[in-house]
Amino acid sequence: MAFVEVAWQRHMRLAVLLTGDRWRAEELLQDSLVKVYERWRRLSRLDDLHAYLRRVLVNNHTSMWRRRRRESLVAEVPDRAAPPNGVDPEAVALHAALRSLPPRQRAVVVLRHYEDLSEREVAQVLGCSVGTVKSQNARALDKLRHIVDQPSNVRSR
Amino acid sequence: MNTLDERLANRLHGIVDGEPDSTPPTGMLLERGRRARRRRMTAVAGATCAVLALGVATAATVATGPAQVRPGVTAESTSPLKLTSPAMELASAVTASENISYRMRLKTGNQSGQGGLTYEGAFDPKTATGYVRQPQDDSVITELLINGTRYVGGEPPLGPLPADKGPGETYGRYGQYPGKYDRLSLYGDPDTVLGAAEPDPAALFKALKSANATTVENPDGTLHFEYAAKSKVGSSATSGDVTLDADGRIAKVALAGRWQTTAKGRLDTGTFTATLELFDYGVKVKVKRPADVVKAK
Repeated sequence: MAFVEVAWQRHMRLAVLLTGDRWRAEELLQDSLVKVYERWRRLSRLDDLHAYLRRVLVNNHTSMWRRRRRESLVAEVPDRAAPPNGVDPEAVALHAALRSLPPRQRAVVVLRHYEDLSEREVAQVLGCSVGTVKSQNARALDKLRHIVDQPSNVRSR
Repeated sequence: MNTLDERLANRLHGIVDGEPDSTPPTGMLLERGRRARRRRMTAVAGATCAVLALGVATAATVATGPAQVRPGVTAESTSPLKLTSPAMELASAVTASENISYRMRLKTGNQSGQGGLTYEGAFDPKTATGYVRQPQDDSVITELLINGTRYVGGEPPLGPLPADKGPGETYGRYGQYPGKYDRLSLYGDPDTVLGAAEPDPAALFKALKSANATTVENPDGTLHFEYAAKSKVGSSATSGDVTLDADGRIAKVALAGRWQTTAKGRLDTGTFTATLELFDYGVKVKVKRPADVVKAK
């Protein structure tokens, strides 16, 4: 139970970046925690359970994205709510650009630049080679560059 | 990192760092987890327990059944007819198979024989010592029971690691569980009734009463059983056949069934099969304590 509370706070923002909205992020995180619970007896002896959960989260998101894409083939893109007043329009633009990336590219960007993982660590999470991480990251940055290169007053970390 | 990387990192933090903290729905998650584990065990490993439950179920029926089956075991043995009912025969086999060590092999799957798991192991109920292994693509899940102390760990996979699986657990490391246990648990979910029936033939008796199975004898001499189960969100129908060895002990239990559930708010259906083989009765079971042991949480 203590693990759930820590994991919920620790991985929610990652889930928001992967899914693009809070509602789906909570759904994704819940599903991932349930998967971990199912295998708890086996997993509880892992050195870094949070790293495992992060891997489940990313893979689960890719699966959900594929499932939804099959289920939601519609003629018109559904409307999204307009950002509330006071929200940084550049953040909104980046958020939208992130959502437009394929899920694996989005995962690479978020793990590399938000979670601050090394290319090797990202490769371990995604179960691919370091070369694949590099190429996916380069393609994603090409698509995001025009947004990120715009002047911004976003605070520094 | 170059400037673009840094700017991107700053922007990503800018998007979500203002997200409000929230309280996890812990109770709901635990309940979902329990249900998911139950469904998983039912669809895959639960079939195992059902297999075992089968025989037991019939045996219990005999023990508590109507008096007319009893003449089968009276002294009037001059009759050339077979005097025991199928249920009694099964009860007798279960009795002959308890309190003795054995090797076991269990295969589960759907009715096309796909998507199943294989468990292999040995168990001595007198010393509460045994093991069971279940190969997966990224490891071989292994449970060891040594004088009642339970260890669960993962050994390297039998084949090469799939390309989509990164390094996960530490192979050869076992979690030691607190307390003492009298049976293996790897494919039994203690939260379910059928899960209580472990690969211990004697456990069949316990499941027997609740399953309330009917038993008949097949033309080839094997014993056939059927039973149905219902829950709030679904139901299942199970049938199977039991083969006895030359000593009258349980040698093989082959089981098949159908299930349906509305647990996910829609109707899901499926089929399952399971084949349990018990052999080498009386085998000496020795298990060595693993070298790399951590306390399980």
